[in-house]
Amino acid sequence: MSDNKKTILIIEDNELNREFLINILEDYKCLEAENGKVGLEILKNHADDISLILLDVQMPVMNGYEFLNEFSLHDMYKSIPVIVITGSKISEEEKCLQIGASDFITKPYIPSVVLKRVEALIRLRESISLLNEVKYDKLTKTYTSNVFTHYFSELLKTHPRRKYTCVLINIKSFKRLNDLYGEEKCNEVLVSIASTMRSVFDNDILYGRFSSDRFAFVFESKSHDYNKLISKLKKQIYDTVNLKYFSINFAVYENVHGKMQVRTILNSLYYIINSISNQYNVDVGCFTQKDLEELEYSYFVIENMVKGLDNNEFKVFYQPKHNAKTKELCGAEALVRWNHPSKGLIPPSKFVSIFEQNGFVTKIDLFILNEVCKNLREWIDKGFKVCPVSVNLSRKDLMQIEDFSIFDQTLNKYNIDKKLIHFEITESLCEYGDDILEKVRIIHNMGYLIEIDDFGNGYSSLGIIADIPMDYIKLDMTFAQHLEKQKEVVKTIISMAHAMGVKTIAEGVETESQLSTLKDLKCDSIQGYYFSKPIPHDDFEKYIKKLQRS
Amino acid sequence: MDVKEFYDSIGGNYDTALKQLMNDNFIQKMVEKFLNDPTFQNLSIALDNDDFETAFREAHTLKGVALNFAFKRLSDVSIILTDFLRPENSTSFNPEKAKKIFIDVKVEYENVIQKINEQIKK
Repeated sequence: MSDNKKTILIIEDNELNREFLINILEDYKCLEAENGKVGLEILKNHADDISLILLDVQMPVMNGYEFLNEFSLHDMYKSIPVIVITGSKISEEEKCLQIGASDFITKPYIPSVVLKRVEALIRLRESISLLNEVKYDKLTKTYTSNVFTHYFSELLKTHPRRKYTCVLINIKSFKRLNDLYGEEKCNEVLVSIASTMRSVFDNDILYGRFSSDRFAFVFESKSHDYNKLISKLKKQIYDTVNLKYFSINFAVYENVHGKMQVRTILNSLYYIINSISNQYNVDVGCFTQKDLEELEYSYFVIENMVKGLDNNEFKVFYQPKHNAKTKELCGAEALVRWNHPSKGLIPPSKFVSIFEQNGFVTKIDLFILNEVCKNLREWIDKGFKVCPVSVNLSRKDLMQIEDFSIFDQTLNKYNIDKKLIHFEITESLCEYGDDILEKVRIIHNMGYLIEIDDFGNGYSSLGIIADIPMDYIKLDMTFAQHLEKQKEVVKTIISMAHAMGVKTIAEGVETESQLSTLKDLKCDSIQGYYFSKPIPHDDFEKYIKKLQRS
Repeated sequence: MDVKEFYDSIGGNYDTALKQLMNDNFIQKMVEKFLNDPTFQNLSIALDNDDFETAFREAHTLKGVALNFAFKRLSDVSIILTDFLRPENSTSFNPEKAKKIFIDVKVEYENVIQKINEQIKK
């Protein structure tokens, strides 16, 4: 529910009588049912939102008794109090009480009486349900996340105009610490963080423990400076917890207010923690408008990816590769583009890393392979001379695809020769150990040529050439951009590659002079805007058609 | 509509109405809606058909509505009818007597309707 009003379900057959109640309950959101059956229908969909039920006894179709009988069968409705509207007959009241009513009111409705009973029952229900939850975390004696969340949202509701700052504290690589030092030691760490919070914080700060390795606290923005609070806390925590490899980071969401959902605020903080956790020199991250937009964009991507694939919104674009010496077309790289019906072209930077994280990238990559084979078959049938097309494989593909014969099957479906498909894998793969390299070997042994993408982009040494089976290396586009400065490096890479029987492709080539330098350095092929940007199917078809005529 | 004058003309209790319904505007709005409330018609049909179970429920509802409006005279006679029709009293039930009591309800109800219409015309 978007507003903070509590919801009451009114089950009463007479429209005027319902309206009398709604008039009295103006501070509540009222749902109406004209008999018990309709009431049960509404409960099915809104039970979580309903704080109380007002139930008339005498109704057609399903009366109050029948409703209560049915109602009491459902465990999940147990916590919803029911006030029965009776004709002040003791026998009626007794009967309802036996089958689960909590209180009674009689007609006529006296506003003050109705409101008092409704308020009292809702309050009682809330305090009981809170007591039912474990209020304090056993280990650290701070609030559990449920209780913290409850108080936090009450705080926002009670003071809708005030602005609060919420901070999440995260222990970095807590699982690793557990492995290194054992559970007992790590529990001590948690306890001392909690006691540091107790000693540092004033009474006006609400705090609690989240999951195994996180704490959160919230305070009114104007009463504290979060920077000061965090540095004080940080200093004291590092003073008490003297453990090698122990470190914490903080996510801050400033000026949250009553119109926001606590869930959303906390999710945003998790997002910040995740995005700063792999930066070793950053330990405080603030949630900004830009983060909000990115977070929403990523939700959009995740929510629409499957539909996008089903609706054929993903398209293959081809970027041609040319022989550096002869300038003949010698290949192309297949790149994915997402053309969303309402958002337009979504740049790969907005979705590729998300797909790599959630594994959807494998579906996309296999889809691209299929499209490429289909297109190649189409062009071969039209009588064009086609060139090899390279398809990207991500690390997730190598981990997720159990049987690589799916590649052969796809090629066979369109009767495509293996020489026409290369696979590009990124150089950073070498970081991921022998099992991944073994999979590359399997694919290579199946007869596919392997291109190493982004070569020289910070990770690799030439030494990896010996470890990974490969046929091409693609020089990262930064080499073409700073060719004059890096000339010697490029020359060395190329000659080393050639010495091992590996061909080289330069990416990101934009000018005649870059082309001629690379040619002089004996680079084999060229990819980049100098020849063409990535182009869609129809344009690439024209491209190969034109080249064949000339 | 002069709400107080209307209440006086039907033997209703204006002060109670004000306490229950909180203001004249809401009272007036609800009183006009009462013209279309089907309860009395349902009650009348049920009695014609000797369907006393439905008649009890409708009488009960009419009683509740009348109490909420603080239509004192109408609620008084509705209470008598409701109690008379109550299923627990069915052993000594006398249909003819029920219909006689219903006449009292009908008189009060028609008076209320007539006075509402007069007030609206004003």
